[in-house]
Amino acid sequence: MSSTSDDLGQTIRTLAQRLGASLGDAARGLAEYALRRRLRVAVTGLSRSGKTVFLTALLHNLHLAARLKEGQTGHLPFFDPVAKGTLEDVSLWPIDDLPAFPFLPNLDRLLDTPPEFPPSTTGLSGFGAALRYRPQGFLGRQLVDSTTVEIEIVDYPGEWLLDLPLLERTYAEWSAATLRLAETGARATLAGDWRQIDPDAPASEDALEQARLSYTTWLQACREPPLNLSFLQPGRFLRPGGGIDLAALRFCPLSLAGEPKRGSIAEAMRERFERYKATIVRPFYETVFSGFDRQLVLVDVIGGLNAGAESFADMRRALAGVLQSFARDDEGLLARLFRSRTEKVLFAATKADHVTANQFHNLRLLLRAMVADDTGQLPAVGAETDFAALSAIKCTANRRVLYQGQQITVLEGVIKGRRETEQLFPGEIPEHLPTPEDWAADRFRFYDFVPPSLARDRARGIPHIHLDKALQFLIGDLFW
Amino acid sequence: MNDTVRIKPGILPTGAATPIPGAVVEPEPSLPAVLQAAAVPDLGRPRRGFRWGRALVASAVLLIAGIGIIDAGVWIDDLFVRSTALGVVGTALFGAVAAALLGFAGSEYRNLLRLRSAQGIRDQGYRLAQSAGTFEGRGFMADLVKLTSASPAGRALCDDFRDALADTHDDREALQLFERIVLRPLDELAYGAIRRAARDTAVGASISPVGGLDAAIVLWRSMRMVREIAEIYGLRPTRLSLFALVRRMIVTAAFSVTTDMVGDIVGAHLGGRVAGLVSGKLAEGIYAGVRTGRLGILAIEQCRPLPFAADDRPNLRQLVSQSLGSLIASAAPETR
Repeated sequence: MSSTSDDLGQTIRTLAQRLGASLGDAARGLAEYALRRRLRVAVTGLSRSGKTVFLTALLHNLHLAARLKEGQTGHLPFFDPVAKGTLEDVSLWPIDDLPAFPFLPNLDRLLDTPPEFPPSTTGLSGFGAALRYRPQGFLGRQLVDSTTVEIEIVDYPGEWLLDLPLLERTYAEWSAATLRLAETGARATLAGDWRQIDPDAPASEDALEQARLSYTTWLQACREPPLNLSFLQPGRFLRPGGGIDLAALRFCPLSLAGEPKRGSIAEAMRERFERYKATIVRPFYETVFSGFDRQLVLVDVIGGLNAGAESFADMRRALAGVLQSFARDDEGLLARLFRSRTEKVLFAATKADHVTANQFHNLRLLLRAMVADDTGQLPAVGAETDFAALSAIKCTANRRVLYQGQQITVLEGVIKGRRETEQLFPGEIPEHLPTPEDWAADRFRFYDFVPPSLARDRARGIPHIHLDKALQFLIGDLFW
Repeated sequence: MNDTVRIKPGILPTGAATPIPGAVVEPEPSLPAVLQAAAVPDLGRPRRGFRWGRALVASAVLLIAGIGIIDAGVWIDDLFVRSTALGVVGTALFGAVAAALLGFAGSEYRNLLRLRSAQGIRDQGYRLAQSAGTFEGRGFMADLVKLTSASPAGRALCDDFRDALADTHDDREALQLFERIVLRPLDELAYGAIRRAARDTAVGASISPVGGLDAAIVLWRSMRMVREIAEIYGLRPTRLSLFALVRRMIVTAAFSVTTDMVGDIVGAHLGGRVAGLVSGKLAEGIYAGVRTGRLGILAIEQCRPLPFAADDRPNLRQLVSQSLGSLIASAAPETR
């Protein structure tokens, strides 16, 4: 009697234990699911801002982040999960519904001997990273041993952001503004067939295509040296990206006097302009742009300084256009249409390794001045905004030297197009927008450098400047 | 600055510049007299005229030394009268004692100076950490590294820090890195020392059969803990400098707000639940443990070269409950 009851008791106890264990497992699974976070980080920037290199270095260093130790190249000491040693593992994966960012081919080029900068990308692409870490917060620590933050890093051309202002304009308004701009400064020196188009000429697909080609060529010439301009609309003419209706791009600015005639090329272009807005610009904002939680905008401030006053001013104009995309003053129609969920925006001046470390502070201040309006006021963005100076791949080293009786910090590296390591005094970055005297004095001449050789070693990180701080600002708060 | 020629940007001709080795990442150690003079605050009261107390101590020491030397002289002279060999032996013995005494005094004095300079570094660290602007702190970083490298655990961590510090990090970042890479692990070690000491004193005080013995145990164990903590942060104190450190701790504690937290803790720990469960002797032990824990935190605050970040402060309640929790738990059922 007592033995059977003991057996029964034993069985019940075992069952209860099993039930308890599986309930515990389920609870832990649930907690892990609840703590798991996934978000989209966008990386953008006008062409030549170093987006591709940035993404390649970021993904590579992130991939190695849990394994690299202090002092190893590519280590991220200012990224909290790394600093606290709570990051366990990072894995990378392509995102399902996006073209994959060509991470591995780009990495191969960077690690090659001699190393090469990867080619720039032209469209929308992305890559995912899953960061597994041990939670440190009170709640997280009680619930799970480790959990995962998944970030989808999406890269898109900053040129596309310049299209947002088009949504508020009619074809006539846009044409007038663009023509006015085309008659000023360096733009006026460039000839283009599109300037001669007669708005009243009969429309045909051939003529429209001719106009598109001519205008695209003109925009490209504006973008290339020696002009180096940035405020070039519409952005898709330069960076079309995949999967769009190219027929919608068949337009260019025309000088209109009154309502276009029926069947004229002007009327056809007006129709294309509207189609462009409706089928390309609007969907990009509605389906892609509004889905970003964090945004990083790369700006080639140093390139802008090198290119001279007009190009620099144009870059500022383009930045203002970019900023309109983020601005959220509640009055604008656009603001209400595209209330993006972006919580943080980081503007970063790239290629910080072109100047000495003591100039980073000024570089940040200058970038801030570029983004701000003329009174120094930052537009209301509605997201936490910060500024940074960074370099995705650090090509130079800082050295203290005695030169002409003064102690100065110089850069040491191999200047692009040369072979030997040389020392260079790069000069100073102004903390305010450069004055006309600054431009006249020919102050800015920053050299490009050859990337350091990483000897095809994939276990080595890529030396960087403040990549970790940017990462900490963008996603550091996700790690509890 | 104004009279120097502005150097034009450009590539420097080969051989035109003389390298200043390591100047950016790791400058020459600069433990300057200026820094010490500026950094060590005068903890004492404002100077009053003639210091009679000091004069008394000095004259007494001189008197005793004089008596000793005269006595020894007479004694050695006496020995020489008896036999030259005895005299030589006596002189040698006295000489050895005198040399050892001098050496001892010298090393203690050096150690005191070291402690003073370490505290100068600490005071500067506190100031730098609170200052808002950018600072030229590379020389200070070298001092910090040199100080902390004197600790056995700190040496390896300082190597890590040196590795992690890049030429592109500014001074503030260097300070942050030092905090993250070197100080946090050292803090953990110090907390461990506090936990052990709190446990030991609690156990010692609760099982000591005689009244005076527990006080002696607590004193001895606490001093050992303070020395351990000082060593963890690279201070390497000896007798006198340990005494000086403890004195400074007490002076600071007397003026700081943290004094009150002990009442808090004891209340939280001994109030109601626990106090009702444990015997009077054990409660005494726990009280001693809590006090040791508090002393330990004061010691950390005196030895740590940089102030704690706001969210990083040591939590006495947590520390003590970690080390005493098991004690309370193990004791509680027995007393029931």
